[in-house]
Amino acid sequence: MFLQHLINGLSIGSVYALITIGYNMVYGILELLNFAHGDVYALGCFVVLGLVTAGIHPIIAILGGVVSGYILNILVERFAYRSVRFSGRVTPTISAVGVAYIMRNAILKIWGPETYPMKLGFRGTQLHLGGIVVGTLQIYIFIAAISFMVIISLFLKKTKIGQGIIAISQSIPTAALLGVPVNRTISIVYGIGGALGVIGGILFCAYYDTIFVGIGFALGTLKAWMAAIIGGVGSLKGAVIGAIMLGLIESMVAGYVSTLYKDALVWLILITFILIRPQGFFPSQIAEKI
Amino acid sequence: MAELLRAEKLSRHFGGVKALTNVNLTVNEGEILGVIGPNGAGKSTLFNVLTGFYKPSDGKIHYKNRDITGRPVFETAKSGITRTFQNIRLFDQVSVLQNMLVGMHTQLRPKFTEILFKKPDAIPEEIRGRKDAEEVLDSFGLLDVAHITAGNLPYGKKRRLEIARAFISKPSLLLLDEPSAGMNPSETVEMMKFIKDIRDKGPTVVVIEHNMKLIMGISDRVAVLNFGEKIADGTPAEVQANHEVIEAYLGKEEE
Amino acid sequence: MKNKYKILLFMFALLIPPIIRNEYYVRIVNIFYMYSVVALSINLIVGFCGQLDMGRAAFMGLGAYCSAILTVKMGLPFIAAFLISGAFSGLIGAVLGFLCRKSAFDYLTLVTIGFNAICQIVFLNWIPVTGGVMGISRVPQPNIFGFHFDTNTRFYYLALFFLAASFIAMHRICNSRMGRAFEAIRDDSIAAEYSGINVQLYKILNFAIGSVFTGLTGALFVHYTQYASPFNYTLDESIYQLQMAILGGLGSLAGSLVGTFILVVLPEISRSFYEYRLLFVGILMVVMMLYFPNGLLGKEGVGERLIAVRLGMLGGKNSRKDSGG
Repeated sequence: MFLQHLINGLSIGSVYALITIGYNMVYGILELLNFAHGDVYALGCFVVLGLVTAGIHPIIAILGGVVSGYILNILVERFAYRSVRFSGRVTPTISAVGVAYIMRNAILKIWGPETYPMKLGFRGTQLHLGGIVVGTLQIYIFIAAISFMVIISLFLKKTKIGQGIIAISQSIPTAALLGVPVNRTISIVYGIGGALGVIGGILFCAYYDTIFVGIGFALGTLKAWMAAIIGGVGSLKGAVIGAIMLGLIESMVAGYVSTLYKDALVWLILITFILIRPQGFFPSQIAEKI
Repeated sequence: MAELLRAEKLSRHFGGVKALTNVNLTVNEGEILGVIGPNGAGKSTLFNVLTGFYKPSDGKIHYKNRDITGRPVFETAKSGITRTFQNIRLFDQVSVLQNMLVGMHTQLRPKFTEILFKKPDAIPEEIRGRKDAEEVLDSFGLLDVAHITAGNLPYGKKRRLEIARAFISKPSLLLLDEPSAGMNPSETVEMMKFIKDIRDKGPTVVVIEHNMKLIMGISDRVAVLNFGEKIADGTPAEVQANHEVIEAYLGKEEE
Repeated sequence: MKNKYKILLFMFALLIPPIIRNEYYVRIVNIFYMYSVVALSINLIVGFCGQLDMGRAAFMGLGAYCSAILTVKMGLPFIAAFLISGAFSGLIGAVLGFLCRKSAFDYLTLVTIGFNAICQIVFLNWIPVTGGVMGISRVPQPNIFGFHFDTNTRFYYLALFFLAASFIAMHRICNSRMGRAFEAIRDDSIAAEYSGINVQLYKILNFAIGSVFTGLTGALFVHYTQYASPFNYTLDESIYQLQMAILGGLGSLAGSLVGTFILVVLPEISRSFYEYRLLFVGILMVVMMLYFPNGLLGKEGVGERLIAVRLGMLGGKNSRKDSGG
């Protein structure tokens, strides 16, 4: 049984990881609590649903969703965040909450609160390995999470844009002095975050075979935020490890303690974690300056 | 002169970086002590450690013959050590007068029942606070802007307000971190006079400065930091004659 | 405002029920009065102290359930249950504030959201105490020393008194040494600490005082509607309440009343507005943060700027700087 919980925790954790990578990049660079992250990519996932329902091939539909996630997040950054970027903490956070509500209600107006089956045609088969069940989909998800982490870290290390992103995360004024196009780079970070979010969201939907409006906030933004805090704000490695730990915690709590109070217990564990280790497992090393 | 504050073998490390190493420093009552040193010499770190913002990695701080090492900032502030900042830190969204009243936080102590059951302008402590604050604002030339939001003040007045806010808390020891930063020569001369006036009104003053003219003109003593260590300490004339200091700092300045 | 106008306003408020003589309208005003106190408490925490609390509904729920349980299951009189609920909510607020005293800005927000989620789950699932999905019904109407507040009009005067007392108390706190300390922490917590303010203690105090008022409101509400439902204290509800304080202007107590009035009355006027209210709140939040971060009555907010336009002295300043993290 333990192994089964472990496998389930790992695969749900890998889904969270994809969602968290994009979230944590924004979080680390701009210190913005991007409340809208989940709801933006949820809209992207619903676009996929719409395209699939219209009879378009799932792969093309997913590409369409990813592109719409990319564009949506760039638009959100441009119109709702950019001008309040330096207005302290409260103002941009509230603006982000507003965006989240706009996106969520847009979904509710178009698709309603119902749960839809997400038929993408790659449900996969199940492998029985000595009493435990492993879906091939679970394996694909795990591989996808790891490969995206590798791709993103290569992107940050090897490309000019990636270096620009790192420079911005150290200090925006310095990056600007060094000639990094600040606004464009931040746009790209948001775009990538949205695109990765849609991929994560689609895998989530595929995993549970359903899609509904809640995949955005409760199952998206909040999980990404938790994972970022567990792993360490702004750290790529932290995002993945934090997300996988979150998946494991959830599956263990549900398996061994209580399904009824699962969410409450996960929150309690997280709050305790914040109190004990507020900097996460992989803290970024920036001391507060006077 | 009586000793007000004594730091013994003060050190502060950040990971591998030694920001302060074995600094011994005495501040005497009623003097103006200048602290100079090249960029990154540890001057601001010294202030941060003396006030308890950073805990020292090693060493002791004695103030008024009591050990205050490791006390939190608000307690050292209560016991009479206060400061200004290199990048001005005001309460930007409230009025100039309110900034002053926050500066008086430790002195005004109305009871909670008084707050709840009396009008604000009928509480004796509040009335006294307002009167004192207005007096000090007047002597700092800020009375005419008392009701303006602090964030909207011009730069020079912000500097003065920050010092006034520190001054009104009636500190025994006032630490000024680069008070003339961003000022033109004539404003700097004014600031020199201003700092002397403040000392004459009560608190002992420690000033961090880049501006040599300012520091040599007003200090009774000068301490020189370089790479986190104190390399000299004495009257302005003594320090200016010190070879190590000339090498580290003044030599470049005179080129 | 001068005293004369305050007295006139209060006299007018006393006359509202006989003037409008419509049970339904009086009911709306009652609800407006109660939500106003919640908005005031949010303003105290978010507007004055800069702590972005997104779980105020949880504290309303705590006050509501506490008072409902004390009266229905333990037979306590209304006034005792009401006061105990305020104290209980304040105590929980203090505990949460204590736990978050060292936390950075983001963590407080996350912890309050988490706390809201936990409360919701407990309300729903702790059936022996909270009644689960059924909630607690037949909560007695307020009764103070034999006087029954059993009609909308009678309750109106209780709610008016509650709002007036809360408003005066908060107004005095905000204009005292304590309120100045809150604002100092919001604007620059490091400079506040250097002014001798025990920042951690004041954050806890701020959270506790705000929670007392939220809890009292929750209790009063449950005795008015006579029913404690686990579905009334959601995160959406918290966000809607937050918007009441934002719309009026963070940092302006009078603004909170105006913001609450708009957001309580609009959904009642139009059914379709009710359906779209969360979309409306979302758009409002973005637009306000971009163009009017100080709300209707805040400093340099919409109100002041309208006056400035009329006097022909429009300044270009609309950026509100709050404490950097």
